[in-house]
Amino acid sequence: MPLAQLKLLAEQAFDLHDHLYNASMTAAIRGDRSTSDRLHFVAKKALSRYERRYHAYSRAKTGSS
Amino acid sequence: MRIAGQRPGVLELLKHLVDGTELPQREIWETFAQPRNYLIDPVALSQRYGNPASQRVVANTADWEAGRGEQMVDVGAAFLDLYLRDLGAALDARIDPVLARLGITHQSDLASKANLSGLRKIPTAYYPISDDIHYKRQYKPAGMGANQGERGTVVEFINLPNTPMMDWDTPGPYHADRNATVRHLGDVEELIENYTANNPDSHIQLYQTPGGFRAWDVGQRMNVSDFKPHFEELKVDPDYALISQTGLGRTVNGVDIDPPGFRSRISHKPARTDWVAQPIATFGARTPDPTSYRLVQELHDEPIRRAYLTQSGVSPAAIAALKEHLPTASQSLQQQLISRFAL
Repeated sequence: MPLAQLKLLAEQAFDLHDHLYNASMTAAIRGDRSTSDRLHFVAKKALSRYERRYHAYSRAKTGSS
Repeated sequence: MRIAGQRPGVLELLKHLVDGTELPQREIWETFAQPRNYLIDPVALSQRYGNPASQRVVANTADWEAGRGEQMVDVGAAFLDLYLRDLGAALDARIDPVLARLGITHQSDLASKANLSGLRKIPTAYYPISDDIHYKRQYKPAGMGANQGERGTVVEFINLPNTPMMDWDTPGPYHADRNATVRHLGDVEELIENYTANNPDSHIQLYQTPGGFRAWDVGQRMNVSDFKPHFEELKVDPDYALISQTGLGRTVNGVDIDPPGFRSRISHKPARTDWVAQPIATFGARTPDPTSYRLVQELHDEPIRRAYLTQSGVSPAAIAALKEHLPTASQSLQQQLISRFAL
């Protein structure tokens, strides 16, 4: 897969994590603890997904297998 | 038995010097240090991130830290420390004006060094969690602006040797002029925008602190030597830049103890309203380094959020400070902050 596409996939994954993390904060600010906790849990899953994509991008960037 | 944080009478001092009563060190420390629950569990962290050598050092340090408070201390020596400390302060008050007229400033040895019982200072505990994470607990006295008799506290610091942090002080009563290198949020934003333009891999997380701002660059792994030119470029507090480049210079069983690195206070200063660090904005690339990002989230953001930012993740005092700085930021950052914090 081209490097630019791997980067885009990594960026999209990070944006998703960031969005979920901020949504978790927003729910907490509203006082909706249960939604905040659920979003926080999903945000952590999204972070793991981002990490996998980042490593794929990073490996391609440095040329390592 | 009364051990108060004030000068005992001479007769009381003599009585305790003669009778040789002992107390656990912990009871003496509690007279001048506010006990608190710590945010970081170094043993659990080292199990997760450390290697066998660092795990051994961390476990031994934790044992030492837990046991030292139970060591018995001579009450007479503790009283003598208190007596000398206040005597030193009284002497300072008398002779300082005379010395000042001669252009001499000093601090009395009696005031600063009386430590027969270990009462003056709780020893710092250094935890080398892993090559990437160091952590310490260090006693800080109540300091400038505190009320008489106000207790200090043990403050927690993380040191991430490969994740750059920047600290900026704004002008105010707690900072010397040379440390206040920025005026407001607008200055910090401009410095960060220039930095991210020149370093496209950088991903900056910016925080409002009671004394100014701090930021982590979680976009790229850099040690202090690599980052050195950026301290000046970013007009980071010169004392912070210097401290970052300084290590304790000690190893235990081949493990570095508090080496040069980016140190960050994660708990409150004593005797102040202190939210420590309120996350406010991010800048730069959308591909942060996962290791740095996780370390900052787990060891900095989450502990501070749990302890100081209320359940909503926002400190009202931090938001009040942010509002003051808001007009100095660019229109786009203002919009972002207004939307995020419902300002």
